[in-house]
Amino acid sequence: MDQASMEALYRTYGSMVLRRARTLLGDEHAAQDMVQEVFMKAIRAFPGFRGESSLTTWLYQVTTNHCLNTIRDGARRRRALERRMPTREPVAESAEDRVGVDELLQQLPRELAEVAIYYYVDQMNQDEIATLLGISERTVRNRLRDFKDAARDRLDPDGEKEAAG
Amino acid sequence: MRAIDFSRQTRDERCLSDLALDRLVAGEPVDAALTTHAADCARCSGRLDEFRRARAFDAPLLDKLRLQGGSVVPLKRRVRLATMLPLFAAAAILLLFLPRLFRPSGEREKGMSTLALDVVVRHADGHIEALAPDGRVRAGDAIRFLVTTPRPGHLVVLGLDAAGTVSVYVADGDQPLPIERGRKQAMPGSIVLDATPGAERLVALECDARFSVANAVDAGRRSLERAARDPRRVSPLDLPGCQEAALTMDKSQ
Repeated sequence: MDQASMEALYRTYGSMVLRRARTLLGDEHAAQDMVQEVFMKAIRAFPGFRGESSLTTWLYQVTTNHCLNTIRDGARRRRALERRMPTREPVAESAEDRVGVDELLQQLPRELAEVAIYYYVDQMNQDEIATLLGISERTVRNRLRDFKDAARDRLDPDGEKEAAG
Repeated sequence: MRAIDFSRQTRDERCLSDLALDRLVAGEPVDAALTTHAADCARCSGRLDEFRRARAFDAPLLDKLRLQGGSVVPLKRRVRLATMLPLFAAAAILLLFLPRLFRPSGEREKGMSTLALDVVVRHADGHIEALAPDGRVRAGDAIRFLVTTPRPGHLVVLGLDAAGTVSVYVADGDQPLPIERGRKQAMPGSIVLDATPGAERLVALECDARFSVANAVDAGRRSLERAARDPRRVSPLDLPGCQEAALTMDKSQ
């Protein structure tokens, strides 16, 4: 990949990666780091990109994977930090929603988190998600159902589960 | 930044997903039905415009990120590298590789010893530039704040204008916005300027501890009154435990 192609890739898709990273990470600084990380990865991996999907689709996956890694690494680091700093201030009220989102994405199986991101964040339909992930629509439906059940269990442990279908 | 709503999809089933909109923005070949829908549907064409505007608006920030790419590994990454030696070799290769890709020769990251406020303006004609001190803007231009700070803290950005009004441009409701240390951090959202003509003093106020935004607004108001409502003559707000950075813009109708 020559420099002009890298420039074009960055200019065309940088804003998209930044927007999704902002939403998924909820932190501007981390999102900006993520842009650099995603494009480093993209540049390294580009020779293996076979054009079977669009560049947009491919970068969606790279960004989602890296953001999920960051969110999950963040949980591990935070636990380590809390062990070392037991007197740390409680999380600010404004971050409470964010913590709920992060907890869901940290704790649920990765394949469920991934499908939930594409469905709820990127507003993709099940057909698009199936194509992007190379799985059947039925699997997408099942994962969404499992995600909803698991999320409900965490948010409302006494609530009733939605019927499978 | 919005919270993620995991309870429902917010789009109409007939409308385009973000993925489809992003593909259109990128100019990738897509199914003709998608292009037709985007043109005919008010919601989708509006969102498409929004994505395109965001792309133009993020361009200066992305340029800055590109210039930083590889020149300095962000702090968080440095910490991780220190504890993950097996990745060091790969990172070193990247550090050698990336500067050649993106960084003009001689580019270095500057230090960040104090709070700094940068403002990026998107003019009505679409032109985007960094706001110089006393830079000219017009009603309808959009501005966005980039904050550099050497320490984590709590931030508000206020606007003190010639009409004696103190506006809160960056905050988290009635609380300041938590901010990490870092360079040129883009604050969420942009502000479309109203028609109040004259100078406006933009003040970034970062404090060690959480504070009441209302108190900061009161301090701004007092400072503006002391300056006879001349934003150019406003003195620092001088809240204890806080640092300030400010920039004046000149707004015409």
